[in-house]
Amino acid sequence: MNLLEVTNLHAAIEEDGTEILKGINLVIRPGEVHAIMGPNGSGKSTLAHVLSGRPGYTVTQGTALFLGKDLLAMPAEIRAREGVFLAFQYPVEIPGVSNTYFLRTAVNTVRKHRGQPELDAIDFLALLDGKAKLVEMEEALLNRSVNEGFSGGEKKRNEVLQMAILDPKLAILDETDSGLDIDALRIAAAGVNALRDGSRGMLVITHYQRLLDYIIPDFVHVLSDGKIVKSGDKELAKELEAKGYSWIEKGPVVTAPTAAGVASR
Amino acid sequence: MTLPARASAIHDGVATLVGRANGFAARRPSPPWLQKLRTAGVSAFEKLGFPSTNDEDWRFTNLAPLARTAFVLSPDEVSLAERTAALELEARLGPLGLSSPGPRIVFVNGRPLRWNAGALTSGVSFEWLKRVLAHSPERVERALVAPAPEGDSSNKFFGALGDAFLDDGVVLRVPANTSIEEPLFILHVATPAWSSEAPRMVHTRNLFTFEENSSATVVEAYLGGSGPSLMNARTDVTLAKGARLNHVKLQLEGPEAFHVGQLAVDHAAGAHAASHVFSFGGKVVRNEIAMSLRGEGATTELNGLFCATSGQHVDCHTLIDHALPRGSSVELYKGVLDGTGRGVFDGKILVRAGAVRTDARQTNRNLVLSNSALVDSKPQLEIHNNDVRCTHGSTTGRLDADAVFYLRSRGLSPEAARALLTYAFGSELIEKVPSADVRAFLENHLRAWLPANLAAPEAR
Ligand SMILES: Nc1ncnc2c1ncn2[C@@H]1O[C@H](COP(=O)(O)OP(=O)(O)OP(=O)(O)O)[C@@H](O)[C@H]1O
Ligand SMILES: [Mg+2]
Repeated sequence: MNLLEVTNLHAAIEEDGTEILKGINLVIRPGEVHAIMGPNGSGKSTLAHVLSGRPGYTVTQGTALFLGKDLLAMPAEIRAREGVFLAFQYPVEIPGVSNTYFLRTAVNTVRKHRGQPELDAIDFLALLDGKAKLVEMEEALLNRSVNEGFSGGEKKRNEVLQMAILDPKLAILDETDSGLDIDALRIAAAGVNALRDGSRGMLVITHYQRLLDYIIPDFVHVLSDGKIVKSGDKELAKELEAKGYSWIEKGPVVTAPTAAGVASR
Repeated sequence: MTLPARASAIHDGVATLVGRANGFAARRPSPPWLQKLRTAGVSAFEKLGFPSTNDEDWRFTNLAPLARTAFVLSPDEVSLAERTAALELEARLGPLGLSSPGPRIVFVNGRPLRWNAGALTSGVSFEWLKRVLAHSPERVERALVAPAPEGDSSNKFFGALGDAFLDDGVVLRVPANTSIEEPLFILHVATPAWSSEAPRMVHTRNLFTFEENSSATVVEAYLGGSGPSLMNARTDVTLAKGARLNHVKLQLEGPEAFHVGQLAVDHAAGAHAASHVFSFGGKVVRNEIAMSLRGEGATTELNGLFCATSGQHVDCHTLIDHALPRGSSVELYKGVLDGTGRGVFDGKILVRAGAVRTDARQTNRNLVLSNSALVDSKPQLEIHNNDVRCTHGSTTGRLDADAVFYLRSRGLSPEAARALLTYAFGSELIEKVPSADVRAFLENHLRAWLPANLAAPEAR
């Protein structure tokens, strides 16, 4: 079964009805890594938000199936518990809530939903310890309030840590590389790569081909003005790096929309 | 002239109270100065009545429901039913409950119930005001007849009423250079009003004297059951040079309770007081703090968390009076309003001409959890010299939608997310309390107050 199957997805800003996503088609099979690139404002984060259930958007057309289930019908927290994870482009600071407490609450909520036993303090700390090492996260950051006063790079590493702990089936990484220095990028990428297995799918949003040297994608898509205008393999990312987007934006849609998906509308 | 029905009910309320106060004074044979104090209280109250919302200091708080209720004093004897009810309520205090080992004075409906010495440091006196008035009234005469601190608005009304009914409370004296480690507890329990009875009122007065370089933590807790009750509580503190007070007030009465509390602290040079107010609602609650910095380099800290839900009103009124040079004050008050709850923060910082090099910082932040909740914030700075650093800020807002979504995107339900964020908002004040037991109690209490239950955040 496909992990994610997005068909002709249209979404608008709830407040003013501005359409941002204008017919996205995307299929991610288990184990695949898809990269999404595209100019600023093309709708990459919007796609990530709509898939993760952020309020403020209206889906006007199309469907998104997650392991065959209607993803768009689920509230955000159910999507998370079912295994969709969004690493935020701009992680939110939450003063007064310790990172450790937050992570433990989250992991146990998710485990309960999946029918797994909740982790007690000791088991949780063992899990946290292992995953924190993976992203080289210092203990001090774990005891601080969630993201409060974290540097840009620390916030992004914290997102990867949360992903590692919540063990999602589909991870959406929205510019997890932005703001990272070379070493941090390598660490974060290693963290992500460690989570690659035959089943977990990833949707990696990035502006830089550099990240894709570490996290080698199976597919690269270009999003422009709310549509995927070109798809290819990792070579496409290199081409984009060299030539920019202008040669492609006006070009034909290369992605073959799944015929069934379009026909069913 | 005929008064409107409402006004006449208030008028009758005042007349009834005046009658009760006169009857009370007649039952308490006392030295002339004390008789005079009570009589002066009665006539002042008779003249003033209850404050109305036309009074600037009471603009946001309508006392008509209080004034219309005919409260009675409890008989001198504590009944068995009251004892039992008081024990049950006290046991609910968890880590601060019956097994708490520290020094403790417990009142039920204003009358003495229990006194535990704990490991009270020698030389410290921690005793019933009533006993002092009976055996050696001269010890408290000066403190009681002292004129009310200037600008202390509610003294006019509830201070007069407190004088009129002056009877009991706690007298605390900490000798020079003495530090008391364990918090001293003063607990007031209002038992649930038994259906056949008129609602009870309590007027209580605490007098604390801290001699030079002494220090102690005092926790005042006000517990109550269901049904209406009135607590009029006043604490006057004198801090000598270099003395340090940590004062914690836990206002935990029932949803029908009326509560008017005042804490007035007079700071000598280098003295420091920290006040921590935690107010969890009642029908009408007013918490007043008046910090008077009348010595050079005195410092004060005011922290408050007030929570109100439907049918409740909590008003926090603070005054910091910087009178001499190099004083500092830091104030943080936070309000959490849910349902139709209403909150008020009215905080004034007065810096007098002589109070150069004053450093004063005031912050009020309010969190509104529902569409019908309301909070009025009125920060006031009145500065009479240029050589000061004063900042103040006030914000009122809702839970951050981005934060709620962030938590939901990690699997938390919207209710759990909101509860966690609300808890985090309030817990900042709990963390400042210098007693682990009080913190533990407050963590549980705040969590229980929240709209949805949270697991214990033992990580912080
Ligand atoms: N809540 C919102 N209200 C108004 N406009 C919005 C909102 N969310 C997104 N937009 C608009 O939608 C468009 C797409 O934004 P989006 O954040 O998805 O772009 P992006 O491709 O992620 O860009 P970037 O590369 O800069 O991160 C932009 O024009 C943005 O201003
Ligand atoms: Mg974006």
